[in-house]
Amino acid sequence: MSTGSTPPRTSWPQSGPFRPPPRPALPRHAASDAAQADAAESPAPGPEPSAATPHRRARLERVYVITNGRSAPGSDLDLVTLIVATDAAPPGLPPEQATIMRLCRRPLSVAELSAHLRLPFSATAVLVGDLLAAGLAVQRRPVRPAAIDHELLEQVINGLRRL
Amino acid sequence: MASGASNRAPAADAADISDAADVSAAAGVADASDDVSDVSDVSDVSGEPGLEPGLPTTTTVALKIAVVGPLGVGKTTFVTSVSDIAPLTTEEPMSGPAPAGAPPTKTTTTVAMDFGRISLDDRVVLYLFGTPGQERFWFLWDGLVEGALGAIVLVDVRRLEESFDVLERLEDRSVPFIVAANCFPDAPLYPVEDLRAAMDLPASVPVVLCDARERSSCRDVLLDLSTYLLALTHPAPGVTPNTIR
Repeated sequence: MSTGSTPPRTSWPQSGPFRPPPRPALPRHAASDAAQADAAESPAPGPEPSAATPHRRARLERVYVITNGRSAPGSDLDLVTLIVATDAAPPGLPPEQATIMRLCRRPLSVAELSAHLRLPFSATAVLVGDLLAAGLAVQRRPVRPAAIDHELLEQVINGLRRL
Repeated sequence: MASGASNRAPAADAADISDAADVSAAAGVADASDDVSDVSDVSDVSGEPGLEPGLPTTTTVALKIAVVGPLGVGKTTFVTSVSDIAPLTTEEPMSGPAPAGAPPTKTTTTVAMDFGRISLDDRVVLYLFGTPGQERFWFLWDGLVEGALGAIVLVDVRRLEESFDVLERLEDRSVPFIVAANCFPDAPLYPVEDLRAAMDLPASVPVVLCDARERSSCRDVLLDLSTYLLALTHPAPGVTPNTIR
């Protein structure tokens, strides 16, 4: 991984005023493994994984029926692609997609839709993709890196200064 | 984000790895807001009345910044401090073999990213995603780091080495980043140049101190990143982007 021009980050500097807590100088990957072990053994690891309620399982199963088990095939939806509904939800739309259309009366990112629906991002992307294909919603694509220019960054800086 | 199972690291344990789950282990930082990623209480969202979370209709530009760091370093706290909205959680099941000790039927672990947003003006919205830094979660990065404005690497000076992998990952992917040391109340204070040396960072990469609990402090970190990115678009003599080696 090291690109050669910098020494590997395997140990602390041996001189200077910096006095890190004493630790063995581990190879980089060993240090990473140790960190993971620390995390896994921390005294308060938090709640159990949240997957298990029957209600949620039923909802997920229903969504996977709607999506035919697809998981965002060829989707170019980004976490921050903004989705806007083009109209009110037509009758007969599955409840999750009706909810998306209601949430997207104003622009909302796919990540936020995923959070509000409490569905995995990949499943949300499939549902949104179907709405886009049906013309019930449109997307505002995120800015690509090549388009991040001086003007946009100054706009960002000015916006942050107003916070 | 869902770029294929081949990128997915196997679940190494059964713990919920959202940043919220472990913060209590991070010494002494009051951090009640990290509870937000408990999503186990599932209501029928289609029945929620009057929910209008949408952005102004004039919003056309969505940007994202990754806030990356090890568990418990304060990513969710940071996002919460500057977000316009209560932080949200997006999840993705992470496929893999059942972790040791888990019930044999359990084959996936849910990976959660907490995020928030800031409307910078009537046209531009900035999203902040708190992202676990460990290697086994790197499949998440495919959807996050690609196209991101840049990254903030949040570090705890008491365990800098936990961020080494993240730094190399960002360098390899040419993602511009700055490093922000979250100043936990009981952690020692080091000069930033000493931190820079310990992380082998070139002089061009900003290293700043912050308090993730303070909105103004987090705002300043975002400004530092944005100013750095601006400098990269017009490199001054002697300024080398950290992403070019």
